[in-house]
Amino acid sequence: MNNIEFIYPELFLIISLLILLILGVYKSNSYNFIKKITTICFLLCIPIVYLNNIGDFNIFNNSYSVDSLSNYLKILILLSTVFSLMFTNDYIKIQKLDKFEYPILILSAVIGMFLMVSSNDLIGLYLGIELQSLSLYVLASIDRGSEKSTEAGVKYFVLGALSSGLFLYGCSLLYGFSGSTNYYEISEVFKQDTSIPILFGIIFIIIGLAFKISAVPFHMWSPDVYQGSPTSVTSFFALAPKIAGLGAIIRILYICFGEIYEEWKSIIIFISVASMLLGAFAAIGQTNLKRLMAYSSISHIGYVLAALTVGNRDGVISAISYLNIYIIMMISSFACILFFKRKNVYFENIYDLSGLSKNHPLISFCFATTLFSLAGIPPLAGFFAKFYVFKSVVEANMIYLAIIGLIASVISAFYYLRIVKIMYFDPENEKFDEGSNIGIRFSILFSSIIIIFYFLNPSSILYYVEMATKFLN
Amino acid sequence: MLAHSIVFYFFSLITIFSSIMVISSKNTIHAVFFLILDFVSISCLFIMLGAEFLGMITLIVYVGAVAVLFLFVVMMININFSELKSGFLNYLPFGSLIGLVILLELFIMVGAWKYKDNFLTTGEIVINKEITNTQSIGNVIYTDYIHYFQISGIILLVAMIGAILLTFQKRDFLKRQNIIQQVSRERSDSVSVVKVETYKGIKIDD
Amino acid sequence: MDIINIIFYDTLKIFALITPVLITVALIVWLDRRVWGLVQLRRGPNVVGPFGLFQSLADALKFIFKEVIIPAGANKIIFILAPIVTMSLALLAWAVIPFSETLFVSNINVGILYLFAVSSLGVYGIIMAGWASNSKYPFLGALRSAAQMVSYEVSIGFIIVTVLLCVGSLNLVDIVLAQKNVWFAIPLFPMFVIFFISSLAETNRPPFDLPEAEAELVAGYQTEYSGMMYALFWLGEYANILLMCAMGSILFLGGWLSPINIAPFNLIPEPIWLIIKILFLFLIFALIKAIVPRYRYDQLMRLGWKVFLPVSLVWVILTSGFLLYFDLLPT
Repeated sequence: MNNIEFIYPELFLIISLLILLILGVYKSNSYNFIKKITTICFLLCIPIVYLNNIGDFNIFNNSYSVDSLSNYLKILILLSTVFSLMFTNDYIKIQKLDKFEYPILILSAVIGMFLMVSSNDLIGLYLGIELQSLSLYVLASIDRGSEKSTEAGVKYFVLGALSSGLFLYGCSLLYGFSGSTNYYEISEVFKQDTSIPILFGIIFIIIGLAFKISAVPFHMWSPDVYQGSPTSVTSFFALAPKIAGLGAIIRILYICFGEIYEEWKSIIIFISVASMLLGAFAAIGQTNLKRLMAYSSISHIGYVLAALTVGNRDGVISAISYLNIYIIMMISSFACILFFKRKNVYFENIYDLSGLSKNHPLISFCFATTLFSLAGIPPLAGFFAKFYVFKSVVEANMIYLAIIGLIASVISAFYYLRIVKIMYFDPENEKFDEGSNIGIRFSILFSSIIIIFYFLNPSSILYYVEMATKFLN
Repeated sequence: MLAHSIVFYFFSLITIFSSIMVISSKNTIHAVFFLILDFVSISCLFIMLGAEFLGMITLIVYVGAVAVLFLFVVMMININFSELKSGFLNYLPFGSLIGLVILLELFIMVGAWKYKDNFLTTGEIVINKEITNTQSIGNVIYTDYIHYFQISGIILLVAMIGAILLTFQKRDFLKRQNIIQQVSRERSDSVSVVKVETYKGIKIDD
Repeated sequence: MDIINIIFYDTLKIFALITPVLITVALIVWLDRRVWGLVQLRRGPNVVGPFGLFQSLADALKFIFKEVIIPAGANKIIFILAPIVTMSLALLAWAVIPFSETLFVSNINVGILYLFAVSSLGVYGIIMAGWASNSKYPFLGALRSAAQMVSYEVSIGFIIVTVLLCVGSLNLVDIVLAQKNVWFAIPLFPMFVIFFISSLAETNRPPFDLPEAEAELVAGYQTEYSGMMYALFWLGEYANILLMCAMGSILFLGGWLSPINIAPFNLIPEPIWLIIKILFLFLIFALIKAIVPRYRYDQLMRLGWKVFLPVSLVWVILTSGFLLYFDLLPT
């Protein structure tokens, strides 16, 4: 029974999922009500996770760990989910997606992410991934009337199932060699005997996880799914699942495969370089904002993975700090994208933004700063994120990685700046609707303030992340 | 022992044969029937291993429920199988390459397993012969693996929510039977006895 | 020795079981028609033999000499396999039915699961027949029966779980022995009722005989069958009914146990008690067939999913809670 005390956040979310489901079924037209309560549940869960942070524990026979890192990532997941629920409110109502299952599926996806970041066992990780992705498949195709949404759902489902299969194959190979599915026991096996031909298992597991965070060369699903799904779902895709996926990758690489760093280093370097470059090059030709954001998130994932190749605690710290800032930038950019509507029709093409600065100076300023920050231009937050990564990479004597990263960010600056040019220097277009709700305004304001004034105290995030990763050595 | 091996080879041959037939038969319905045969013979193999609970659950869940629904779906939609097979030769080289790679990996793994003495061998796994295997499965599922068991339940719940969300449509023009309403209908709600006066008639729709 | 043992001894045992079962099937067909007739103030079959007892044999003889017609568009192999599957599955399940503490063909650990599994396989005979006939009515009948049997299996599963909670074993002999003090039909009465109704649906008996509803689908999945193949379906159906009655009497009516453990009752041989219980349940089956009108399809589904499933789920929880609270859980 002792173990139960450590999983209060998960239990809280699961119980609220079940209660909300019953409420939603019996109350007609209950989307608003359920959404509000779900948001409150997420907000309540933050202090529960925080209070739960009383040390590093491994429970359920070492298969589930509640430590500062997982708690940090959980709070990040909860916050980003709350934001994505907040600024998508208008969109969901206008697009008639207001079914009460929508927030409930987000809730179940968050439970899956909690399992992913906490799991210390291959079975638990797999179950977490499945719970998360099953909810996301449904969310992607939630707009049944639209062909694109259905296509996105099916594509995501088929490729996700394939990647789960690859992941499971890797797990079974790993289990075959080590005789256990537990990270600690697997790493014990590696400690005693490094000659095991384990590379295949590792590759398959990394492929499976790379699929989930859409890193190149397993990114094919992401632009189509980002574009096809309703924008509210896309914004959720860009936020929480990335945190969960990276949490799982960090845990599996550093705890399970910590002993065989040399084996996986080159794989991660390859994935990271490919993601940075492809994300930068492929985005040049895109005119759809959502598709562009998909490529942008691919390249950002590349930077995070570059930090992980360092293989020590510094790398993890800079990776998580990068992730943090990435989340804030994504909140800002998706809140802006959800602002662009005329007479309740949403616009996704970048040319629709032409001359935005004349009609909506404040929004275009915020969007422009966000784009500058995404491109990594000082003194905005995005610059510091990239700085942390390059610093830890250079310290580990991998200067070439830093150079490639720099090149990629120079290339990507091109397409970010192109949008800024369209907004500020192209001929004026029709005005967008003014009556955006408070959620969008608050999200844009909040994230823009952080992005702009981050330089005042650039070590603040680093401090918290350092606290969170204390147990990794 | 001889009878045992005869039965074992009988079922394994059926298993292999029907698995091959599943992917090679031209008619989709036949493929599903072979799949069912496959499940049945696999469950027989489970029972021969002494895992009778697993065997029976395979029968109940896969054959009794999943395959029925599968058959149901395949019968309802008319798949043109020759069209599906048309790309077969194009994909053959790449497909067989991947198959070969995966097979090689399995060989490597089995090889490493066989020729390393510090690995766990199946003989080392402790089996308590006192209790039935239903009980021993229950003993681990409800203790060590309780959290996985519960999470699997939630995954199934989410799958159900998703299926309902994506397929259920409330149509207003459909008439639905409301049994409570029907049963609670009183005579006075629908019938009224009126004395009709001669040559006066009665107004019906008021 | 091993092989000889298996071949002779076990084959003998199997024949000793199957022959009485088949004879009983023939008799209950007669009983069914007779009860049906009596309820409707007719006489029913009363010509062949004493009380018309040999009517079924005469019918069987007639079927044997009739020509078997296979439709030109039918899928021959599956068409022929379908009645065989139905019949053999119905007989297969009898292997684990215990007639007394020592009298059974095989006593396996997971007997109740075996029964459940085999009875759930029964749907394949019907689906195969419906599909292979390559005709609309059989196909509709097959689809109906697939949906119907799968839905009602779910609640039967939960009912079995409640019984298992009280017994603590999957072995059929243990299940019967656990009812020494009180038959489960008394404490679990609602479950007994639901089980009985679900077994009506599971065996496609009226009022749930939608797969062969003659008013809508000619004869449902057996429309295209004739001669001996039709007779096999028929036999299989009744063997299945008999099996569900046996399952009901083992799970809820104390199997071979006598109702009261005193002199005149417990002197009667144990298998006789089981047979009496099976026949009693069958009598109710026959009466229901004669009395209750057929359900509409959506009503049938509603009953299965919206009434029986929640009730049996709640009952599982109540039973387990009760047993846990009063510390009565079997070890």
